[in-house]
Amino acid sequence: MTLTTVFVAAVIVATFTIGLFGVRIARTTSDFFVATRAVGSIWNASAISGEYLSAASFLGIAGLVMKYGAKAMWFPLGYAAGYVTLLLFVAAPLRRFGAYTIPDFAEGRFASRSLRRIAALMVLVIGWFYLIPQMKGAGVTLELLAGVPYWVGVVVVGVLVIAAVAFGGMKGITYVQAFHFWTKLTAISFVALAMLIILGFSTGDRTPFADGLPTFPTDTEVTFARDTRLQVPQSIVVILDGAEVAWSVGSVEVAGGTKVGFSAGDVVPSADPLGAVDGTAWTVPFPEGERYGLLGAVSLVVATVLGTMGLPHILVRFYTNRDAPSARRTAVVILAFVGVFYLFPWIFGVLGRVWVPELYVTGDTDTVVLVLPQLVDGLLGSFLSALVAAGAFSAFISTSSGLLISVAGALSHDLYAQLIRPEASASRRLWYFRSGAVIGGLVAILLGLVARPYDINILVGWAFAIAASAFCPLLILGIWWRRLAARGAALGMLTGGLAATAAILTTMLGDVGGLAGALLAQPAVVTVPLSFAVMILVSLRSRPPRHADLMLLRMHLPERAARKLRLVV
Amino acid sequence: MRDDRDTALDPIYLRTVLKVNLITSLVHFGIFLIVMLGGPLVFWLFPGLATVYVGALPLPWFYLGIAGFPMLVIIGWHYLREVEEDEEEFSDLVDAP
Repeated sequence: MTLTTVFVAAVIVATFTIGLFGVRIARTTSDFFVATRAVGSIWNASAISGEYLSAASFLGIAGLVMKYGAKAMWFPLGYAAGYVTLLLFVAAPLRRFGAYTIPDFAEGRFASRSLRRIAALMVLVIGWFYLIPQMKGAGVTLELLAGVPYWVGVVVVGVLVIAAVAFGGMKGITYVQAFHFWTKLTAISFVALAMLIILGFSTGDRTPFADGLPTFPTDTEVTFARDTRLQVPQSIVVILDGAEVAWSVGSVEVAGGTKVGFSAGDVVPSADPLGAVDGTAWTVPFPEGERYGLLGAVSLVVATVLGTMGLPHILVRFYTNRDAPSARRTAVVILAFVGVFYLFPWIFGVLGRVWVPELYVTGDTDTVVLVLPQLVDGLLGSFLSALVAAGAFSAFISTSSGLLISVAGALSHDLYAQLIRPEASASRRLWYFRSGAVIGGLVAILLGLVARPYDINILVGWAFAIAASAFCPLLILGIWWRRLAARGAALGMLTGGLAATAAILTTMLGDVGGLAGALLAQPAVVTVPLSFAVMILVSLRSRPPRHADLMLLRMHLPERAARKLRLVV
Repeated sequence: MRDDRDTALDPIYLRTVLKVNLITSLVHFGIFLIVMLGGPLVFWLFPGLATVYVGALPLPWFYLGIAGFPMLVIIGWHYLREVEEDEEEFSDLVDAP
């Protein structure tokens, strides 16, 4: 526990030291939004990977794999794959265009203020949706490590991030996030390999991929943090207040604060209303009896593959590349970096099924990465626990600060300053930005407080679906199609973004079931083509924007050719 | 001396460079789609593959958890090489009198 405190404190201190060191250079407004451009590809790729690998990657993937098995394995590959589409269609042209943010691109490409506002609105929706799971990650992590209530972690990390963003800006953050990336990669790879060696995939007759429901490996006492309704799949005898109590098949209510003792070999009850997933269904990607499994998987792949380019905190970082070729090289290095990272998180989910099935009982599978190292005794155990805690905190802080910069920029620069105070001076704008960071951060904290029941990765998957529906068609068509008109872009962005958001909010209220339920839970496969269709159909009936040829030329002409043609870009 | 403005707006440049870039991107996107969507389809069509093991891992786990990542990096790296060649070639062409 002490070592954990030291490691986490070291991450926070390093964050602020490196961040404050950068502040001295961050004097102008543009430094605050985007780091000065003199950053090399490896540094930049480290920083972008650091910003990208959030609570969802560090904690969420393992938790979801433990809960749902093979079905959750699409997430890591999809998260990495988004950089391929970003590389193939967006990175170089957008860098040549010279837009800082997606709202900048929307206005610049179509010479339209209202497009900037619509894009900024979508940045807010995506940014807040993505911030919620980071807050949840912080809440459950501090609860587990420090024994404080859930809300304490949310507030502590929320306030730290607000402080870092309001006073640091982007310049310092480039180096902070590169540091966070290497912390996360070291932590996840070292601890995953150590756990594999120490615990092993299986023990005796219990292997993760076996048939049947998970059972307790040893006598286990579980303390319930809150009221929980358990599904009991097989009758068992438990110890409650020192007395033996029989639980028969069905559901059981357990009050918060209760301690329940389970015996080795008993089948594990589950806090999930659907019950723990049976071994066969856990091992295969498309379990029998699940009609829309393929549709759900394809829709999730669509969201992650097309959503990455629409993440406001990621795209803004591509501007920090020197030129278009280095933007491309950065994307390939990121692909390699996150590809290596994603080899490890799911290992915790697989080990968790065998070694800590009590997380099915409490429903806290999102904490499996933090819980597994606690099984190891002695100094090595404390060291492993401290290392994953440091990695987890790096994840919350780097992703949240990147997101909050985008949210604050959209609130202050794109919405407030543009709409209400277009004549504001640079120092006023900096003040607006800081206020935007405080407001955006407070909203994220409030949303994070109520987000506990939702899986981290499900929430992040939804942010990807909205990003893919609102921004992917705008970027792809805006970069590659001359005829895309302002009206088409605006209507498509609104239709796709709002349809995806509405679908997700409906799902959050309750599962509808059937085909409709499957599509509402994973809307990208419908809403992305819908957004493309609206953009294309409306644009074909409108006049193409003026100077579209020149803009496309600016985005696609290689640098050397542009110099030869003496075309200033 | 050519007039900069006319050169910049000459539609032949845009058409050529767009076409070359788009074809390179789409070819790599096609291979990428086979990796990303072909996987799900094969596992859906042949559920028995889940009982084929690679070491300690069922085949779908091996594919999604390990093998997929190097494939993505290779696609990205190959695209990078090709697009840089294309751009050099195009820039040389622009020079031709």
